[in-house]
Amino acid sequence: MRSLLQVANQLERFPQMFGKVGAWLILPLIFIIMFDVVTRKFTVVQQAIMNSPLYVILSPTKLQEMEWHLHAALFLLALGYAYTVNAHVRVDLMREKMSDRGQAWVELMGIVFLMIPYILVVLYYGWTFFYQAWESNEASDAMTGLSHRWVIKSFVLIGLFLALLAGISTLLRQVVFLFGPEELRPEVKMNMLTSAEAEHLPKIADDDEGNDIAKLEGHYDDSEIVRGG
Amino acid sequence: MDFYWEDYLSVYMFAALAFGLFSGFPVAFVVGGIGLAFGFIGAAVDYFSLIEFYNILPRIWGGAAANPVLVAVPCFIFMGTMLERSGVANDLLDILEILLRRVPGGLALSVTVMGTIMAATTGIIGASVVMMTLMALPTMLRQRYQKELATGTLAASATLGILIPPSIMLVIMADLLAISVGNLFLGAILPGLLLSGLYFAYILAVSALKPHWAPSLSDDVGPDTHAGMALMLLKGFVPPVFLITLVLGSIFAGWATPTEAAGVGGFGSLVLAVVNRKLTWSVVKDVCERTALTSGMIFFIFMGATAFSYVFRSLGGEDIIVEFIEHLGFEAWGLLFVLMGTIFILGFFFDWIEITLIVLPVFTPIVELMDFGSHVEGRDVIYWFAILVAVNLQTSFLTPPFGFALFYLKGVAPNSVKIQNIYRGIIPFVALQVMGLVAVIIWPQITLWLPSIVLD
Repeated sequence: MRSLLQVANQLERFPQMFGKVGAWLILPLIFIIMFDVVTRKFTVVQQAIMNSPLYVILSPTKLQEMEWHLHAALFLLALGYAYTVNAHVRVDLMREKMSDRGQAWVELMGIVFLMIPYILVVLYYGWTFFYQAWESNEASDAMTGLSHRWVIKSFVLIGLFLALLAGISTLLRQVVFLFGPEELRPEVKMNMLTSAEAEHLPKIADDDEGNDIAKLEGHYDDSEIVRGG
Repeated sequence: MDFYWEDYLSVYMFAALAFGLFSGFPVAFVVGGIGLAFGFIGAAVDYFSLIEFYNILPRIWGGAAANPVLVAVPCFIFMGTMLERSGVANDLLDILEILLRRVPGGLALSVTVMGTIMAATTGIIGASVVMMTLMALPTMLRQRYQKELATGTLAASATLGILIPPSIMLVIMADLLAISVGNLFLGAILPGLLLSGLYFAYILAVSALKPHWAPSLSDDVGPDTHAGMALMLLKGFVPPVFLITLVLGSIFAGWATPTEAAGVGGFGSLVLAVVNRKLTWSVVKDVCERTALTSGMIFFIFMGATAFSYVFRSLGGEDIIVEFIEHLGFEAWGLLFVLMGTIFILGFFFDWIEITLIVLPVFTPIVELMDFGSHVEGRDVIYWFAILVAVNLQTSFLTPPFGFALFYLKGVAPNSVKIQNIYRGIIPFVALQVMGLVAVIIWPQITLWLPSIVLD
């Protein structure tokens, strides 16, 4: 059982790693939009680019396609990562009344009967989706658009595969929690919590009145957003 | 008429969805899993062809990924998170408190103004309620504000974010309803200001009548000199107002599409963080990661909902709904109340993400058929409907016992704040919301006037 838990921890590392690296894509996305908007306002700059060799990589069509390419890669890489930190929304109404075992059972059944089949089916059809783009060397419909559409389409497969890993990792944890020895249970960290009390949320401590700075429980790292007197 | 159970597969599908959602398993997987499961069931009884599954991924692709409009979503999330983490939001609240220190209920009013301005920023109900509560509740309690007034103000002001542009809910709604994001933003401005105006008037009145509910800050808070005051104003007020004006202005002036304006806003929030000297490596990393998590969460539901609604439609679900509605024999007004009532009840249990992505596509064909005569004409009906849905949802999130903005507030609040305090405190605000909703229903011009003059 302990080794199952270790496998779960190992599996979880991949979606987290890819998700955290992918998260940085928001920065180039913002810079590209900014560049596009500014050069459009200053037609001189745009003319200069159009007449230069840079046009090959900096045409407005390419930039605008690059924007949604980055957006797609960003969220696809985060699908699994979000599950590993319990960031996917749940309806908590019944859940918060359930026992820990009840919640673990729901999670186990959900992963086996809904999540994994769903991801496998979409992956299966997604393979064709990707393969067609690869084989026909699909490019943008626009003349000056980006080529190699299969690259971004492959992110659908990568993203879903990472989500599958996150699902299997969580599944193993539920198995350890439900069927494993008692002493391992505290180590099963897949949040037996409702979203409103999820790990990344802080809580204002009681008896704050009179204190200058509210003390926060939990590991919310920025005490600066809590207002001092 | 013979009854074939296979004809009602789409109805069972919704029942299964409700069951699955209430289990507490993540919405994205429930929606997608049930969608595909019913595809297989449908295929087993020859009501669905498995080959249709090939259509689903291109739809997900075109709807969520290769969709220039939705690029605005991660950008706005980034902007909001960055404004919060770089202390811009906090500085704004500080300056508002000092400005309003002599006004009765100054602190509560500050929260309302702050909610109106920063509404722009996150648009995810849970996140904005948590952020506003963390920033303002400790101070309010220390000032010995009545708990009811404090929590009511917080919950109402924090949920304004879904209505006041630039809100990501409006971006997604406009995309699903095939209308212009810019026009919908314009249409939402006056209803949003109307609501925050109502809150403002209520807080002012209550604090004047019952000063012990909202004790004022002492005068010695804040800088003594005029220069100090001016500097503080400059530091706290100008950055966020400048940023929001930049974002909305560039859309309405036609310099940028709403998507691009979101990117400009994201860039602006980075610049403000630099000015505030808060742009450290760890802040950027944290903001990027939170942005990715929220995007991943929204778009996984988007993917699941696409699969679900494809199968639902293919099994004849849309026809059943339209038939059912025709069977009811309501006129446009009756229908509007049925739809609004449904959305209101759904809002008890679900966030706007699920409601807009799953329910709105089902309602759209009905809305397009509705005829309000000269009250609202033509395409305007859709804009008006979208705004009504937004105000309605906000009200629903605030309504006890289920309103889930209240749960988030309770989740963050100290244990001395009881759920009963929160329930009692929110009631006047729910009444104000209903007033606002009724006003927009009776006077559609509140929504339609601004787009009409800007577009002329």
